[in-house]
Formats: sequence, C-alpha cells, structure tokens
Amino acid sequence: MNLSTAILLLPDALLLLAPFVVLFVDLFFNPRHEARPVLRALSWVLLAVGGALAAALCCGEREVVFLHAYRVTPWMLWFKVCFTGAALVAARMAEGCFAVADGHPARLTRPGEFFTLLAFAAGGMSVTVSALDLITLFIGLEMATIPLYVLSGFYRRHLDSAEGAMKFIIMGSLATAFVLFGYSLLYGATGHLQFSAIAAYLAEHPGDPLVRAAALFIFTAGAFKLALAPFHMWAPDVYQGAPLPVAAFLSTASKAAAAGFLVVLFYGPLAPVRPALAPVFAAFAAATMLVGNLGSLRQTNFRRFMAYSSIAQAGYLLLGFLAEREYAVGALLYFLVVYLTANLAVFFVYATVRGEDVAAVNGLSRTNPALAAVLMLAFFSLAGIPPLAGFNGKFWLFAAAAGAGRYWLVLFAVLNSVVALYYYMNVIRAAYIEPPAADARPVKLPRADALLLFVLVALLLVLALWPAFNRAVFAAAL
Amino acid sequence: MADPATSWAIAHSWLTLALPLAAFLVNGLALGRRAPRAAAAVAVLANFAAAVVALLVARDYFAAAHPAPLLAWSFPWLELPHFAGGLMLGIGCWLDPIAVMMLVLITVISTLVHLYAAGYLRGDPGFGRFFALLPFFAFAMTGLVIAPDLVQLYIFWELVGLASYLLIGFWYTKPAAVEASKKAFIITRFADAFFLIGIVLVATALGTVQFAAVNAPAAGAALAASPVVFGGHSCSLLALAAVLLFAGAWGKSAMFPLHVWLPDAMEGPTPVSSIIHSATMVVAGVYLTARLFPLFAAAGSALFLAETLGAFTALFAAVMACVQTDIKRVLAYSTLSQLGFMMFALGVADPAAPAGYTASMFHVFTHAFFKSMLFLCAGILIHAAHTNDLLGMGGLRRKLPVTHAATLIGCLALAGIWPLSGFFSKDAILASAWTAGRPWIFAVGLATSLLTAFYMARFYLLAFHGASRAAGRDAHAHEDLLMALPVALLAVPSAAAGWFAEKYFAQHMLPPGLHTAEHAAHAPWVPWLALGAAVAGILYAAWRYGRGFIPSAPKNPAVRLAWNRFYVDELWQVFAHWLMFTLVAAPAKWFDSVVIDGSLDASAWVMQKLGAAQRAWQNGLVQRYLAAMLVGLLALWLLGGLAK
Repeated sequence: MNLSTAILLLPDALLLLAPFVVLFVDLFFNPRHEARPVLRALSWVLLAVGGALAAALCCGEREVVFLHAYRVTPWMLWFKVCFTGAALVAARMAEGCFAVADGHPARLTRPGEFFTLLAFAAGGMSVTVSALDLITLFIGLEMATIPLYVLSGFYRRHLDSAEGAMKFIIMGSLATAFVLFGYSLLYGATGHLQFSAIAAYLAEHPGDPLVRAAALFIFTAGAFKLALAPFHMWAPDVYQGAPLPVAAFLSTASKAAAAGFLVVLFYGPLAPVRPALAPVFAAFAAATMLVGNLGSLRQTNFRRFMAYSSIAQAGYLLLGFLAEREYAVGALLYFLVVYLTANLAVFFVYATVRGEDVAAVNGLSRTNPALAAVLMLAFFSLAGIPPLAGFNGKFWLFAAAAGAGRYWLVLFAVLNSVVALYYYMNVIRAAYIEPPAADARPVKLPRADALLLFVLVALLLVLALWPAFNRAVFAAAL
Repeated sequence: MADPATSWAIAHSWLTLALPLAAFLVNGLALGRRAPRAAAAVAVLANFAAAVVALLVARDYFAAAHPAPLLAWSFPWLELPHFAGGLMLGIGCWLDPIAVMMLVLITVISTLVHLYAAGYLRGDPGFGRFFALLPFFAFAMTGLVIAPDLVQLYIFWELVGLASYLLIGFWYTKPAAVEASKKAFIITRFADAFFLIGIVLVATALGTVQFAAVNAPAAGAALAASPVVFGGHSCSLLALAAVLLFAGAWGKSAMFPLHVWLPDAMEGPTPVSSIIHSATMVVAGVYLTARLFPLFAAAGSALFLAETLGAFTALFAAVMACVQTDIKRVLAYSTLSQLGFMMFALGVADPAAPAGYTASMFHVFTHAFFKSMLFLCAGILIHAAHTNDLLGMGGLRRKLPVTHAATLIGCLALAGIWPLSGFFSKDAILASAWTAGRPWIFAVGLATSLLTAFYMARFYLLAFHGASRAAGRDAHAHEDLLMALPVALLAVPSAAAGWFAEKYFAQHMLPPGLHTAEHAAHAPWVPWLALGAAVAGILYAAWRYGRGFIPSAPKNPAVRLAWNRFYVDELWQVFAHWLMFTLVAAPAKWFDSVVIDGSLDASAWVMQKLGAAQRAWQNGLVQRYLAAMLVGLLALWLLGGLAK
C-alpha cells in the first residue's frame, strides 16, 4: 500500500471518523445541544467523504486490500456513494424535524445522538460491502443495523415509534441469529473465515450441501434487511413509527447495504452456489413484488405507503441476482443509484410539507408548483417511465431476468409495474387535481433545500440521457 | 473553406436542429402567451439563423467534387452493450447530399412561412401558440432528415406527426379542424405501426440501425438469407422488412388508399398547409424511400410498390384536382399527384441506373418552392375574397398584382412550362421512366402532366380572370407586406431553381455508394412531348374558362363527366369512411370496451381484493411476523434444493 492507493481507503476512514466528530462537537462546542452545529459537522464530514469518494473513483488504482480483511474496489465505492448521499439527504431532512415547534408530532430532540447514530449506520454499511472475511462482514452488518433500531424508536413518547422499534429489534435479532447460524455452518464446512479460503474450498467441493444450507441461512439476513416477503413484515410498522428522515434512510441506504451484502457474498465466495439458488431469487422476487404492490394500494399513511413501495422495489432489485456477475453488479448499481435518488426526492417533498398522510400533498401544484413537479418526476422515475432514469434501471434488471431465460418472471414484473404505476399516479393526481386543504399555505423552501431537490431531480433526467454514467457503473462492476 | 472537414458550418450543423427547438421552448414556455409579437420575432429569427447555417452547410458540403456522407455531430444517449450485438442509440447529424438538400429546403421555406404567418394570423387569439408550434414542426422535420439511424428517424417521424396534429387542429374550436387533425394523426400512425415493426425486424436481424450499415450490400444479403415462414408461406426477411418500412412512407406521403387525410389537412391555417405540402410531413415519406433506397432496391418489393402506387396516385389525384372548387383542395390534390410522381420516379430507379432517384429528389426540391408559394398565394386570395371557393373569386389580378404574378409563375412551373423549375424536374422524371423501360408508367406520367396543366390553368383563370364573382366581399382586397414579401421571395426559386440546379442534382444526388452516374441517353423527344402535353392542357383550360366563367349547372358533357368524377370521389370518401369506421373502428371499439376495459376492470377488482387480504394478514402482532419469517425459511429450504 502506498499513498496513491491510500486514497481508496480515505472515504471509509472519514466515514468511520464522522460519528466521533459529531459526538465531539456536540459535547464540547454545543452547550445547548442545538441541531445546527451538529448537522453542520456531519455535513462537512460527509461532504469530505463525498469528495474523497469522487477522488477515489477517478484515481487510477482499481483496488486496495488492507490487512487481508478489508478491500476497496470501484463497485464498492459506488455503494459507498449511495450510503453517503442518503445519509447526507436524510440529515438535511432531519434538520427540519429539530426545528419545528414543541408539541408538533414531527418534533425531534437530541440532535447529537441522532446524527451520531446516522453516521455510525452509514459507516457500518460501508464496512459491510468492503469486508473480506466473515467477522468483518458480521461486524459491518450489525454496525449498520443496531443504530437503526435506536433511530427508528427516536420518537420516545410516541407509542407507534416504540412499537416499531421493538418489532424491529425482535425480528432483527432473529435474522441475526439465522445469519450467525449460517456463518457457523460455513465455518464448520470449510474451516475458514477468509473469503479467499472459502472460495478455494468451494472450488474443490462445489456441491457441498452444508455450504448450500449455510448460504440459505445467510440469505435470510439479506432478505430481512431488504424486506423481501415473507421477511418484510417489520417494514410497514417500523417505517410508520420511525421519524421521516429515518424512514427515508431505511428505505434507501439500508436497502443498498443489504444489496451490497448479498453481492459481496453471492458474487464473492459463495458464487458457485448462486446458480443453484436461482429459483430462490426468482420466487422471492415474485412474492416480494406482489406483496409490496398489493400492500401499497390502499395505504393512507405516507411512510407505510413508502414502506410497501420500497418492498416492491426490492423485489425488482432481486431480479438482478439472476444474471452473471459482470452484468448483474452494474445493473444493480444503476438501479440503486436511481432508486435512491427518486426515493429521497419523494421523502424530501413530504418532509417539506410535514405530512403524516399521503394526502398531505393534495393541491401541492397550487401551493408550490416546483415541489409538485419534483414529486411527479420522482414518482414517474420510481414507476419506470421513460425518459427518466428509473426506466433504464428497471430495464437493466428485467433484462437480467430475461437473459436468464425467465420470461414469465419478466412478464410478472411488468404487470406488477402497472399496479405500481396506478398507486404512484394516485399520489400525483392528488398533488395536481385534488384541492389543497382549507388551511394550506404556500410552501416555502429554504434555498439550500431547493438546490438539493433540484440536483436530485436533475440527476433523474441527466443520468438516463448521459451514457457516461451508464458506462462508468458497468465498468466499475468489472 | 471548401474542405468539409474543417468547415465551421458543418461542425455546427446541429444549430439547424437547436435553433428551432430553442424557439419552440422559449415561445412555448415563456413568450407565447405574454408577448405573442415577440414570440413571432423569435421564431422568424431562429428559423432565419437556421436557414443561414443550412445554406453555409450546403455551400461547404457541395464544394467537394464527390461529397461523401459524414457524421457531422453525434451524441450517444443510450448504449445497450448487452443487446443485439451492442445496439447504440443517439442523436446525430448525418449529412449526405439528400439530407443537405432537405436541410436547405426546410429551413428556407420554414423561415418564409413563419414570416408570412406573422401577417396571416395577425389578431388570432392563438398567435403566440402558433409561433411555438411552427418552429417545433421545423425542428421535428430537421431531426428527421439529418437522422443517422432508423431510431432517430422514427422518433422525429412521430414528432412530425404530432406537430402536424397540433397544427392542423390549430383552430380547435372548429369541429372540421379537429376531425382533420385526428384523421391525419390516426392514418399516419396506422402506417407507422408497420414502420416500427419493420425497424424492430431490421434491428434484431442486423444488430444495427445505422443507415450506413443498413444500406450496405452486406445488410441486404444478410436479410435476404434469413427466411420468414408464416402459415406455410415463406418469404425473405428482406422483402418483408422492406415492405413494412415502406408502409411508413406510404402513410406519411399519402399514397392511395391512405391519402384521405391530406385533402382534409387543409383545415389548418394556410401557412401550415403550405409547409406540410412542401418541405415537411408529406415529403418525409419520399425522403424515407430515398434514404433506404439501397435496401429497397435489394428487396425489389418495396420499389415495385412505390412505382405502381406512385403512378396510380399521380393520375387518380390529378383527375380529382380537375373538378375541385375549393382553392386549397385543388392544391392538395395536386400535391398528392406530384408525390405520386416522386414516388414512381424512385420506383423506376435502380442502383445501376439511378436517374429516377436523382429526378425524384430534384422534383422534391423544385416542387417545394412553387407549392409552398402557391399555398401562400391561396392564403392571400382567401383573405381577399373571404372564401375558399374558386367560384366565388375571379378578377383579382388587378387588386393583387404580386400574388397574380407569383401564382402565374407557380401554375406554369407546376404545369411544367419551360424555363420554369417544374419543367426540368418533371421532364427528368418522365425521361427516367422511359429510359428505365416502363412505357406504361411513362404514359401515365404524360397523361397526368396534361391534367396538371389543365387544372392549374383552371385554378389561375378562375381566381384572377373574368368578372368578380365575390359579390362585393373583395372590396377591401389588398396585399399585406408581410404576406406578399415571402411570396415574392419564393417566386425566384420557383422560376429559376430548375434551370440553376439541374446540373448539381445530376452530379451529386446519387444513391449512397455511387459516385458517378451512367447517364443513359436522354431521349431528345421527351421534353418536347411533355411540353406539348402541358400546352395542350393549358389551351383546353383557356378555351373552357378563359372567356369568362358562369358558375351554373354544367351543360357541356365534358364538364358533366368531370362533375361525375367528383361524385365518384365523394363515393370513395364515403367508402373510406365506411371502411375505417364500420370495419375497423367499430370492432376495435367493441374489443376495447368489452375485452380490454372488462379485463382491466376485473384485474383491478382482483388486485383490490388481494390488497385487502394482504392488509388483513398484516395484523400488527409480532408473533405472526416471526411465524412468517419461519415460513420464509421453510420456503428457502424447499426452493434451495435441500429438501431432497
């Protein structure tokens, strides 16, 4: 390792430093525990991470391995871009919740802890995708999940929030138990914790049933975090109870981390097992899409609605795992970047109008036409309408399934997209056709937020029509 | 300066696309409603600038002795490296002789029509909207002609259709205009469906949609080698794809029997008719046929269709034009007839003797000038006499001197009188048909020439000569400067374009892959015969209408025959309506309302019920959630192949 490869490790180092910086600032420079200085500290660190990520993506070195346990390659950097970006946007959303008046249902307190936990989660996700052995992988995934348990219960006085957090912990513990069981089976079968050694063992014993059982147990952890049916049942309750920025983070960065976790294993040491698991991926994808889309149909609570919508999107995402590595990782990354962008934009709009219900955007086209347009474009992208980038993302994933010869699954996914279009259009209709609530006032947007939203929406348009992005993502996967 | 590689204009040829688009966006989003006059100025200036760029492009492009096709600019926006051998879609600017010729034609005519429209639509409530839509039309057509591949061509092809829909239905409070816009859109879309299937077939079979590759001999051979079998019949993919691709041209260029939309399209404002009938929309079909000429020539089937349909449409439409009394309908049928000429000229050409190809492009060029001018003149006449009816005009030559002179030039040019532009291109078409060994096509062309001369002379005489039949409506007839200027400017190329451009076309307008044309011996008697036919037509019209016309019930048996022809035409229209509405639309409506809507309603109902069941399952009890996880684990166990 020399100085030029060290830049590849810099984003992770900064990201792991971030929670400590935030804690430090809160302890020593923020006597009244206000949100602003803490958020500023977090934002600066995350922006530094972003800069380091960009530098790392552009630098000539393709790969660095650190202490045989930690590896950074371009596709991992793209995942880290997702985590950092989502954390940044969620933090910005949260600022509004700290600023509202006492007694408002969206009111959040204790900014220092909140931002520290958010940063810890992002750091844990970053560790997950870079792990090179089972211990690091386990620590990374737990570090990504445990802060989220706390964050989802951050409305300490709300019963919903406590209930959601409780369910999250109970079910998360079960998932952790499954995955630990899977790791121990894997260790028992191969005698190794190192990915390279496990891969070498699998190359010699491709059909080991113990390894396949281990793979299935490990898959449950991914299924839980991605909220694949029937491991999805925590998601609606947790999203509904959690503060809005936390729900946004859960539906974006956390999903990306879970996808990264599955990529690390199933395109890494467990790659020889993956073809045998194709029926698993196909069946879970189909079930998840159906459950998510059916669940979304009649939801009135916004976060519950988005929970089901993200469940359905996770179903599409799983289609990517049917393809071979060179194609799959690129397709998954493309989908994730675009999905995160659109989802964060939707959450941001709701954070701005401070709505609990889907109907909070009624008549938004009259109270703030720009926000209504953002909402429309973001939902169109989620629904996969060309020329927005969401279409390309979905197209790559559907093509992955078609490439594996699963045409029925593609048809099923397309039909599901139609159902999704229905409920996304319902929200757009509310924003454009329904009259605003009687007490609705024009929604004002701080300039920084307006800029952020503009960037998110511009990305949805630009990414689709800008082949360099496409090329970069697919090249990073190689 | 002369080198295309270093030319500023060629490097910036994308401006011809960007400028009208910018005018559309500025006028559509900002100026159209608030400052309609400024919108008109923006539109005229943007088109003028585009025309200047196009003329510079043409100057630099044709400076080379053998201008080769070149990709002046391109931007890839969608790469599909994993599909059909690496399909890449983009937007680009592909310049070859016919594209450059069309660029000049579109931008110049569009500029003049914009100028004219500023006078024609003065005071119209939709003035600003019009100056957003008209640049959009020019933008769409420009994108079509410079397309380097089938997909871009198809996208802009549909944008042209959309623009024509919006402009034909510009006066959307007028039911006839709405009907006409729907008719134009639906009929061309109907043909476009086949076109799209053709594009998909070619793309999947060849793995490319670039014209350079599609027109290469290897592509034709590859397509010919793959047979298609359906219902026990087999034909080569080449023949099938060529016919499907040609179907697009069939609808857009209004070849029989899909021509029914074109005469109705005159319900739009006259400047729109002018631009539709000359530089955009209808010539798109001819352009497509020329663009894919090597592929069509390899297939044979499509060119045979072009030849027979073209000749038939030419004669059929000319006969109908002879009896129309609506001033714009005469011109509309005349356009149909001239499109027939362009099509059959392409049909009789073949790669070894491309005289027909050259002649067809030449006719596209000359026809655009005089036809757009004639429509603009018709617009002035309509403003002057406050009617579309030729029988309600007459004697306007003193009140409208510029229009009179321009119409005379236009009519003589269209009739094919030496030395006006139409003579040269029509003569080239007739000669190409004769030298290609198609005496019947030649005969049809000659007969059509005679009819053309007749109905154009009739048009001219009825409008400008004899006593006024306007019953005082034309008391305030005058020529608006904004309207007369474009007409006067268009009169110059209408008169001189043929004489001036003939040798350029003979030298440069060749199908791709061909640098020198073997000019077959030009039968010396063809121009004399064509001229004779035209003069005969004019003399007959002069004898019929020259001595003053009384619009009464026809007594002369020849005219009665013509009126009967008219009756047949109406019957045909009724038949077409019946065909479209009873045989196609009614079953389609039944299918739509019962099968499609019914199944949609049913599936929506099922979805809602399933959703309710799903919500009932999610009852909030953590025990059930954990049970679901165990069920999931069991499912994994089964699906993962461990249950054996």
